[in-house]
Amino acid sequence: MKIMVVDDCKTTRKLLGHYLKSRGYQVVFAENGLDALEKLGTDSVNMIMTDMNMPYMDGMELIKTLRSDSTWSEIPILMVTTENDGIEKETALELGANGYIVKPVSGEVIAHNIKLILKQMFSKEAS
Amino acid sequence: MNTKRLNKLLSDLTHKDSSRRRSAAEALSEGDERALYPLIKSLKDENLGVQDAAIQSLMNIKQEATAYMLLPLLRESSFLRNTAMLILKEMGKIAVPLFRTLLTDKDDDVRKFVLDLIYDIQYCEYPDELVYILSNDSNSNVRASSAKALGILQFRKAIPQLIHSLNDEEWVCFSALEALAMFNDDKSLEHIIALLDSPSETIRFAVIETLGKIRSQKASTPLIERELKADDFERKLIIKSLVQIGTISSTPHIRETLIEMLKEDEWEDKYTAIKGLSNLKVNEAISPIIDLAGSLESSVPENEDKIEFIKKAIYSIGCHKNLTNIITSPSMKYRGKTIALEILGELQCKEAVSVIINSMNSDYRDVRRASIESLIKFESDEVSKCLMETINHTDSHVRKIAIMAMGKIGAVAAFEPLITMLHKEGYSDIQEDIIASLLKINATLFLSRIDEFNDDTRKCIEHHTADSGPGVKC
Amino acid sequence: MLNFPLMDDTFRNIRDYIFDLCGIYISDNKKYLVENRLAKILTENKLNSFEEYLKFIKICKNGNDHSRLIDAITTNETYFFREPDQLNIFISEILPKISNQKPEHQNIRIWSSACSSGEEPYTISMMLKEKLLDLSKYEIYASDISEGVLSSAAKGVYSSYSVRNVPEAYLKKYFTNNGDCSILDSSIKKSIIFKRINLIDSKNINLIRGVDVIFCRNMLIYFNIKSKQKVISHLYDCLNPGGYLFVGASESLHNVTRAFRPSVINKVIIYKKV
Repeated sequence: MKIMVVDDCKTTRKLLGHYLKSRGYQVVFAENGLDALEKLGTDSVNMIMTDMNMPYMDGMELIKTLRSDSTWSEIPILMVTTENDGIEKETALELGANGYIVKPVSGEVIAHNIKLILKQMFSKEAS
Repeated sequence: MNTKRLNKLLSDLTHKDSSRRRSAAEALSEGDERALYPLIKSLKDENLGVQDAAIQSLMNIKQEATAYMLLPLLRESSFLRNTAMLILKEMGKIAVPLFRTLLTDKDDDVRKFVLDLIYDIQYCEYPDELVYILSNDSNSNVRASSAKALGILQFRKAIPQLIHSLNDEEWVCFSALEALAMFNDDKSLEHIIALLDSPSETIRFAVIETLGKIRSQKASTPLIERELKADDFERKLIIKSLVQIGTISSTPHIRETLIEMLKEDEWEDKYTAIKGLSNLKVNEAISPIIDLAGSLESSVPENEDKIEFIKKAIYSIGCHKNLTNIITSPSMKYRGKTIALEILGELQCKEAVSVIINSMNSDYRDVRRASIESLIKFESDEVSKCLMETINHTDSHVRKIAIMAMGKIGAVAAFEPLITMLHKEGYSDIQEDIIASLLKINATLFLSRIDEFNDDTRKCIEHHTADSGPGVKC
Repeated sequence: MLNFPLMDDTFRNIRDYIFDLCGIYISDNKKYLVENRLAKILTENKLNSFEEYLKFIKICKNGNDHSRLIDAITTNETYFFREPDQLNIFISEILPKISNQKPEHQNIRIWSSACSSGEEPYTISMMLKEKLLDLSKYEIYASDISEGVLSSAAKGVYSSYSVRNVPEAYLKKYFTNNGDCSILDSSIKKSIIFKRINLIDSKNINLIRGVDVIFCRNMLIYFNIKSKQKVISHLYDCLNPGGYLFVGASESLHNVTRAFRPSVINKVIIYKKV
């Protein structure tokens, strides 16, 4: 399974990349929402993990853009951000994020959330 | 900017035509603090082009007032926040003094944002305060950001606290490792090495990478010991770090791992593998490395660096039959052969001469061209003879190089054949090369026969002999 | 190869000169590029050091020498039908969209903004003709900073390397083979309007306006971020709303501007002026 990690901070991309690769996921990276859109077009991924605060196109705008495009309207999106604001979380979920976790976060929590989202997707498809 | 013009532009910023608003926003980059607030408002324009122009203009008005007016946006919606950060980063040092008071802001995110900005700008006049944050802030994201910032600032006084932060949460520890890697400091080494036994895989990975970046020989033994118990992923990381440190040993499995690493997607990994293989002078790696270079489209400028790096790596391995065999290998594509030919010429691998001569008749134009350019680097009778025979080659580019080479080596035996060629050569640039070579071989004799040629050719010869400055074309 | 090295100070001075001339920025790690690319020019002009060359280029009033310098630094071999996926999407997807939006009496404007020796605009023209499109409804502009390559482009004579990707049917129809060279058919040559334009120069760029599709492929890599932003901003202003920008397949605008939205069709990224 391939996951795209979208974050403007190189350190965070590396750390999240380690978490995912050590659990057997393939990872591609993007620096911001625009970079993610470009790479999505050429690289098929199964899930997106995105930060909120990024230049040029932030996480919220990325989710909004993806959900308005029929190609990406169903792709699972997990927001991983430092923003611990209830309103931001609510907005992200309303825009279409499937999950929202607050940094700092461990590999176990990320893995757990990924499994949770995938389970929800499968149940949705089954029903 | 005069007030009249400014007012006109400010008025246009709210025009119903978005192209007018954009032009106004662009023009206001020459503005002063009177333009700031309207430009900041334009960041919320519905048109992306207007937003973009406002961003660029704000970046251009590099004044403390601009930074001052942007800071409140750090508390706004995500787009405004991120845009403000983008502009503040671009503003650079001038903004940094204003961040100081925000380091104690009650909002965790604001504290983190300014630390991230300090990291991006790589400047801070009050680094001691960052050390305090690293040890005392309640929020681990903030502590992690301060660790990163201290690393990039190279603030050595922070090293003890960074070492202490290795015992902090994983997120902070990771950033502290990154920071310590930037100091290249032996003092922190034993503390970092101790983490090779961390129960956290992620920390172990980060430690291995950090030791590679620090490049201290002292890390070699613990890394080699760790390699024996590591799984595949960790072993690859260790080998990469050992390559960077320069203590990689040439065991079969390390050579195999490095050759495998050539297939990794990330070029950082490929570079490390190539470096390791060239340091170890692994001859069996020559072909896969050249193949890698050959897979790169040479007309894409960003590939030039990669190809150059690869060539240097092969130069350091030196002449070997594996390099020569590439020229005749049916599986190697033409681009790879071209690069191999170039390298053989640079290294003057004498044992490759006959193979290079044969490849001048390749079906591939690039290979023919590379063959002759490689050959002219050798000085031998065999090569001179071959070059002479090549002056009539059907490929004009090959012909051209052979002709130039004749002039360069002053090949007397080529004089008459060149005279014959000058009568029939169709390409004007090759005619010039023939003339230049003939003049080098024997100017007196050549000029004494000038009447043998038609008017155009004579004029060309006269241009070459007259002192008429550089770059004269026939 | 030259017998004298390029000293760091001289490299920086040459780099600064090139930047002032055309906005192209050469980073420190590309010093070898300057050394290799300028070697031929030094030899031809019988110059004995890079310092001499710097003096030479600064005092010369000959635009050709400036052109040669720019050519030497920027020219990589290009060829017809480069990045064919992009070209196919342009023809099959983008042109119909633009045609539908365009009033009947208005021509569709296409601009190859870094056309070098002309392969790209001529490729576009041939593809339009093959699609049986009425070429009179299209204006194809082609520009480059270098007069030298533009005059070469206008001649329409190409080496076998340039035409190596040209499909057989096109070769037969639009080229005449002359030994080592392929000569382009005059109907295709005439279909292009060539202009000398420096993409960094805001006055210069006003020469072309109201464009529907811009190709700026494998050019941006020569610029630093600031210059890239300037060029993209200029190209944005030249485009009609809803117009499209193609950049090289290995290039990206994601850390340059938010003014364009990337749109992906069959794995090809196209930027739209929204």
